[in-house]
Amino acid sequence: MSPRTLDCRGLSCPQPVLEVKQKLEQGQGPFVVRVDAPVAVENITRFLSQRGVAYEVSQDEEESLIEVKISEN
Amino acid sequence: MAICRNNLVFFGGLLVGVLGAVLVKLGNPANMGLCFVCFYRDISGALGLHMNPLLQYLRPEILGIFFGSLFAALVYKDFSPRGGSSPGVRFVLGMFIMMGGLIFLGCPIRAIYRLAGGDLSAVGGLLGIPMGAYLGLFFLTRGYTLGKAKPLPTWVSVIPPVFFGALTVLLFAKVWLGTAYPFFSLKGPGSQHAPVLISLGLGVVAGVLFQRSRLCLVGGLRDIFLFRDYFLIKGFVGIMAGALAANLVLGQFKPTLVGPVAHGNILANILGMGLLSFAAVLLGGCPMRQLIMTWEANLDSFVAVLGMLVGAGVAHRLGLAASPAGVPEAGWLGLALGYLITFGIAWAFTFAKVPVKEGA
Repeated sequence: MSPRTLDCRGLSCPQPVLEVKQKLEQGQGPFVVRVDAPVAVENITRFLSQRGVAYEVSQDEEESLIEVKISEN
Repeated sequence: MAICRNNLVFFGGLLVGVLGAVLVKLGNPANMGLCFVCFYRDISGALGLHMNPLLQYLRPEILGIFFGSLFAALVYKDFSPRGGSSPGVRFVLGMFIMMGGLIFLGCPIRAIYRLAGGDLSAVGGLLGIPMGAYLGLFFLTRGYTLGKAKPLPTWVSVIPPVFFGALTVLLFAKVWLGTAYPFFSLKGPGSQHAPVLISLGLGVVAGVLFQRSRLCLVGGLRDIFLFRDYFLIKGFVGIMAGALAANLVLGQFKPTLVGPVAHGNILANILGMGLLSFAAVLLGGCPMRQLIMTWEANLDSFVAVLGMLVGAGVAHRLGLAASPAGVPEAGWLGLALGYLITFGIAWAFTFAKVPVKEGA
């Protein structure tokens, strides 16, 4: 798995959003988050919106991918 | 859509608040329209895990919340069987959630109901929630994790519905056929309840609301502490507003220092609720949230719920639980042990864990 991917599948609330926050604050550019819980998707996207970070969500049966595009303002 | 979601958590809370007040009007114990700690305790008693004759009833609200949130989870496809993230540790944390909750006499939702009913002693509990949440977050932000849950075979998801289905059968066997088991109280809080079918029906409504709105008080505080985000906490402002308004209308708002089924030891109230929310953050959700996640077929949450049922049994068997008379000496010991072991778990899974390999 590429270092640009953050695998948060199976983590308990609120670890996914904490990991995203950490990754974001390391400031190493765009990355993709893999999650499998709808609540985690909502927490992460709410956090990103609040920080003004652009993202795109794609979903299939098993999991969601959140593409985080770093363009903080 | 965004406005709809934003309001869902507030209006969901508002409805849950009104619902709690209505359940009290219809017969539930005062300020106990819905209380996950109290109801697990009563179920634990009904099953015979403890034999306190005042606290035994198979609360249909809990079963209704099962059907409601299971239904919502199925319809909205929030349903995927998972488990295997240190279930044993979760069982123990579930037990200590109850230890803390039975010292305060309520879960975070009842703390709000109590305040909305005019019981000022609830303030101690409401102060304990951020304290406990802060303790939990201290470890979470330093890398605390119980490990990843893994997908489980589909048949495993049948286990929680079978368990709670069996409880429902027991409930109606008792109500309709008058069986000796499960045990129901003849007096005390366990004997006070709304009509069975109404409890069950309103439980279903609450279950859908909880599942869809993602109400989570501990999560609300977490977002405030970590991200200065006030989204989830709106749900609890909603519960407070709804319960207060409904209590005023129904004549159930009675300002007093110590309300019914409560005690006024502020230190015990702070520390009890503190332990509950500390353990809840380590589990990833409060007693209500654990139940909702169970219906989403999170087997780890199911194990935590079982831990809470057993915890309630142990607390009452050993005389650790508080009562309106106050906190027994053994209760302080239980509380101390709860903090000791919860700190131990938090420390072990933050600093003493085996390094996890990158990637999957």
